[in-house]
Amino acid sequence: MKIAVPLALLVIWGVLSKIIDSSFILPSPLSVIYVLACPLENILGSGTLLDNALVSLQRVTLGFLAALVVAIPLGIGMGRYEIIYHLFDKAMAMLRPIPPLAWVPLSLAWLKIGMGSMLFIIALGAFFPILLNTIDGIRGVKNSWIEAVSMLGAGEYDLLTRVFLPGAAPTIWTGLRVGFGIAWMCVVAAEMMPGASTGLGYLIMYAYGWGQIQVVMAGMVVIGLIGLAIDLLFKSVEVKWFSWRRLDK
Amino acid sequence: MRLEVNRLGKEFPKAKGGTIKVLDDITFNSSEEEVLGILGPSGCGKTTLLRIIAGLEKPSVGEVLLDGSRTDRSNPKMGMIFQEYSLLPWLTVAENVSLGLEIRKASEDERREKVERYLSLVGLQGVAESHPYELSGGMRQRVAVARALTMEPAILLMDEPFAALDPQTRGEIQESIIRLKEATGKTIILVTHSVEEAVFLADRLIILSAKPGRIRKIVPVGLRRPRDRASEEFVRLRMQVLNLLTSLHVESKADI
Repeated sequence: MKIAVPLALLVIWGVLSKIIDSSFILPSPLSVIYVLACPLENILGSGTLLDNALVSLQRVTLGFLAALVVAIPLGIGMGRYEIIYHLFDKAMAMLRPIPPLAWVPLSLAWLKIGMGSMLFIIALGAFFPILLNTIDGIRGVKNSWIEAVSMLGAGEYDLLTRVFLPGAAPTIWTGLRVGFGIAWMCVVAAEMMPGASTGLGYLIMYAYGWGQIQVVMAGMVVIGLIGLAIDLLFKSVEVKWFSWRRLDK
Repeated sequence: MRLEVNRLGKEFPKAKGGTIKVLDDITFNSSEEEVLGILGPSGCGKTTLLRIIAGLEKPSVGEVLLDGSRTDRSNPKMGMIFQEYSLLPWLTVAENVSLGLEIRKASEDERREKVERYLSLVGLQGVAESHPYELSGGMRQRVAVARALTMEPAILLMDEPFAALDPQTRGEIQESIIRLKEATGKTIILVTHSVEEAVFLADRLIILSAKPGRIRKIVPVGLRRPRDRASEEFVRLRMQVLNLLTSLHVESKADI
């Protein structure tokens, strides 16, 4: 049942590619599967599919971690203390609508071509979902939990580590999941910036330059599959660690 | 342990400016191991009074003294049982009960020993590894009692702790509160809106009038335990308190 729609799309794609009959517009599913089946083959001298995917994964992980180490502490601060919230709220609300891609010129000017500017774009993409969900999670912690634990002699540090963080953890985790998803989209975009020479985004643009549309589509499929796998990973952790939120009414 | 509440008053700011007085000139003492019931019509500030005694809120005027010194929320001599939802759902029952001991950095042996002792005191040995959401409302409140007891407070404050329970569970847990008081010799201050519950549990009743909350009467209960809810003197006292509360309720309505 779950594979009915993907299978139907595959069939429609096959039929359309037969009708259009041009590998520059719509290559056949088979030619794309052929590329996918040889992940260790060097494609047009731009590296293998596997190597490029690993490079992208490494970048997204680094950029995501950079976002996380800033967004979570800031979110806790903004969620817990009114002063910090009012200090940052307006600035954050103004920066948030600016898409990460709009930062490309500035990131190139500030951080030069290469890893630094790419990580900046990726981190920007992950930052706001993590921040907003952390603030939300901290604010959603029940007052009765806070008061009950403070009656047990808890100081501010105890409250943060024993009540606020575990109480907000499910919501923060949702933020991480959404943030990683956006970061994964941003990594592909970042790799299409001038100066990139590796990664799935680069591979797609490079193959496009050579008219190898089946490679472009294979790259897209890999991006989709990796995104799906990571989302499932986040979800399975959610089910395992945070079931209390569903069960506690 | 001597608890003194001296000329306590509390005002809250109103949404449209100005203040509203919820408590006025509340004075009473407790130096014996007793169950003190606080009763009053809704809006009389009884929960606020309890929260001030607990140190969760500051009084506008007056003070609460425990053996001569002011109280605050981290005072380990006060334990509090809330209406509901005070257990941390991500922790097991045992972890919830040992929370205060962990915060105090008690040794593992002490924690294990006390968790066991107080869980069995409230009659909950078998559920140590369960999570709060697997328990009934009555069991959860007993876990909350056990958790407060691990801190060995001299005074146990209870804010309508049985309000959300069904009548049968409520009766059972009232009995266990009496046993608890006899076993541990603590002073228990109980806020409730149930006259029957107050007369059944309390040694003294503090009756508040509403808007602002003032002490209208302090009633010694003076019934021997175990108390029989159907006995003539129980019923008479209950009716007497009920009538007083009804007249206070009418008064507070008339003020509007």
